[in-house]
Amino acid sequence: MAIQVIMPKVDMDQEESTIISWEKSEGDLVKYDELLLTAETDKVAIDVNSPGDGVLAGIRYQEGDVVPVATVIAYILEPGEELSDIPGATETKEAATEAEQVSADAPEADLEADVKAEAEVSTVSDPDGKVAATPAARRISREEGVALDSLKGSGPFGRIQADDVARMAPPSKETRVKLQAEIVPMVGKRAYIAQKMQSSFQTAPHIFETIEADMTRLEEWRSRLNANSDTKISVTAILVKLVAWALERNRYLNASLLDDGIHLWNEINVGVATAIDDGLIVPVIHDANHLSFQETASKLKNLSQKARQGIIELNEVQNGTFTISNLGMYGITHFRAIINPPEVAILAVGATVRKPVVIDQYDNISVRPMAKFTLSADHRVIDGVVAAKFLADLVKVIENPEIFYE
Amino acid sequence: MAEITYAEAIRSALREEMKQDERVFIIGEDIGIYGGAFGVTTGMLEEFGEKRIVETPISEQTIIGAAVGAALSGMRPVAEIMFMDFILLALDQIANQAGKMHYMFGGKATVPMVIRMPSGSGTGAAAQHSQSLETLLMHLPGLKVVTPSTPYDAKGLLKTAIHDNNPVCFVEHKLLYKMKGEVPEEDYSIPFGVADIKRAGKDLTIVTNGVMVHKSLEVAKKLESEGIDVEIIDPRTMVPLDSETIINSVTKTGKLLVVHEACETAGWAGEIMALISSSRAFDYLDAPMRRLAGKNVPIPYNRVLEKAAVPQEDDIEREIRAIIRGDY
Repeated sequence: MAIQVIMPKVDMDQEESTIISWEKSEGDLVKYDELLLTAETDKVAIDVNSPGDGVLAGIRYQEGDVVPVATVIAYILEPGEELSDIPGATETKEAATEAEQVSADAPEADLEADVKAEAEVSTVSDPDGKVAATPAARRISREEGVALDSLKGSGPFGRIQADDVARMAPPSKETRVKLQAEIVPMVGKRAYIAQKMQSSFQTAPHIFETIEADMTRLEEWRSRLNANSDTKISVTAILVKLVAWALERNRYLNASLLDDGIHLWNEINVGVATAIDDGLIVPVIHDANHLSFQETASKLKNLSQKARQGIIELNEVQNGTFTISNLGMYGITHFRAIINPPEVAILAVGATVRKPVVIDQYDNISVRPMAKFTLSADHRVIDGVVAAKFLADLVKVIENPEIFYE
Repeated sequence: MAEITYAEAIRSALREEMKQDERVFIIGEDIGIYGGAFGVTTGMLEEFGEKRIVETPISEQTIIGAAVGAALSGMRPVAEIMFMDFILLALDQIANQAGKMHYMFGGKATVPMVIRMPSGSGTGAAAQHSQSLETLLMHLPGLKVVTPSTPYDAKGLLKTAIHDNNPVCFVEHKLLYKMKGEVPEEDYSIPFGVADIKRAGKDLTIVTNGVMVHKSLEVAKKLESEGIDVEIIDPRTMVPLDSETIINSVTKTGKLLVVHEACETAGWAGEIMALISSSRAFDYLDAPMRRLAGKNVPIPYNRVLEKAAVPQEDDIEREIRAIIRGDY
């Protein structure tokens, strides 16, 4: 059996010593008690004598090296023994030192007064490819689905401890502090809207274009129309008509992309997004381009009422070909709406805001009621310029109402 | 509540039971005028007389044999073996007679006896008067084995032992006789098979008995200030063992250290470790289970060596730190 040559500890508080000179070399035949090397601490010189008869081999430290106490510095081999026979004898100095330091630091009993440490060399995983892990670590690995072989162990000999696994596991539902909530089931209208909006946004590549219109003349127009009408005509009602007019001249905005191609609808059915108690509904003004302003207004009022009362009928929300959404009454200046499938565009109307604008080529400034209109369009069907043309037409008729009657 | 010594607590249990039940008597060496080698039966000869405090010559096998016979005939003897070391002389009577008669006679015979025995080292009594042999007794079916560590536990458990219809080995660590503790004035008893959590903690479980309980408590108090929180479980009855409490504890802490004065080889630490390995606590172990036990040597006469032969506070502290640090 090979005998370890160990750096002795001669002082109570000695931690290390420096090798001064080797008196024997690798491969030399040595006798028991023969001087192998001399070393020194900061206080004394140490002679290290051979612990047995045999061949000096596996010298790990050279002259000038600082060696921690109780470290194996060489081996005395029996005749016929090879260094490779000794587990760990051929390990690199650093790994060996580290492993030995672990045992060297381990507390020594009074009686052991000891210089001989067990040199246990560390191996992270054994040659069979098994992983060293504590039972607790294995349990957490199973429970959290964290593979052990993907982890580095923090335990002795590279053993994987429970914390090593727990750290890599996704935060458990139990350890996260629960927030309280009132739970609203995802059913009915909410579920329907959710599904429709998600599907629309994920399917149609949306492009967004905003244009600002001077609403001065539209407001005058509205006053005139209301003077001759029983039903109050709202801005939205007028916009329905103007949008219908613009759609007549921009058919690709009034279409649907179906399996067999782009359907450019013959009817213009303008839906108006309406907020109700538990969601959103879009009553449709069918054939909007053929209705009068009054008819449009009264239809709109009627449908809104029915919607809010929850008594709107199925045919009143079907077959829309274009949608208008107006958040102006809430002060929203502009926003981007999600297209209402199977339509290809939606117009978001912002608040009319009185602001100073340049009104002529002389840079004269005046305060005018301005409103922003944002179009969302499905780029599979509508290109940028097509969308822009529609908006331009809309603004033209808003700012020049006489065009409407041509 | 009164504060009395462990020896006084035992005497108190003996007196109460003897007053209540005339079938209870004590038999052993030097228990009469001398009051027992450790003073436990002081004053009892005067109180109960020769017929109930039966002094014998040095004759362990006979003491136990006579007690077995008395028990079989309807008495409830409490035999005292002066040093646990001497039970070895009576092992046939204990193992083959006391322990097996109830079973072998198909329940027709019962052996309701208690064998009290001082155990352990620390008094300079040397190799033949200092052993902790509870492991040997635990191994024999038919016997119950009790190892109280406090006056409260001693009195409560001795009462239960005397009422038990089985042979009960009652092991008293001799260093504990002078230890003081609170004992209720009113009647109470402690059931067998219920461990006592002497200190609750969350970082490591120590399972220990006898005087080692107190050494462990000292160390735990010291380590508390460093944030190491040790749980100490005193099984109190080695047979029947409260395995649930031990399993629950190790499941909680993930680390086990068994400390006993009995020699390491085939000592009962192995029993606890096997128990944990084959329980659900296994999946919660985050460090190798460790044991700290008496060295496999005859207890030395030399006082320094005597101390070194069994675990001391330093050893316990060192081992706890090593486990917590992850040295193993």
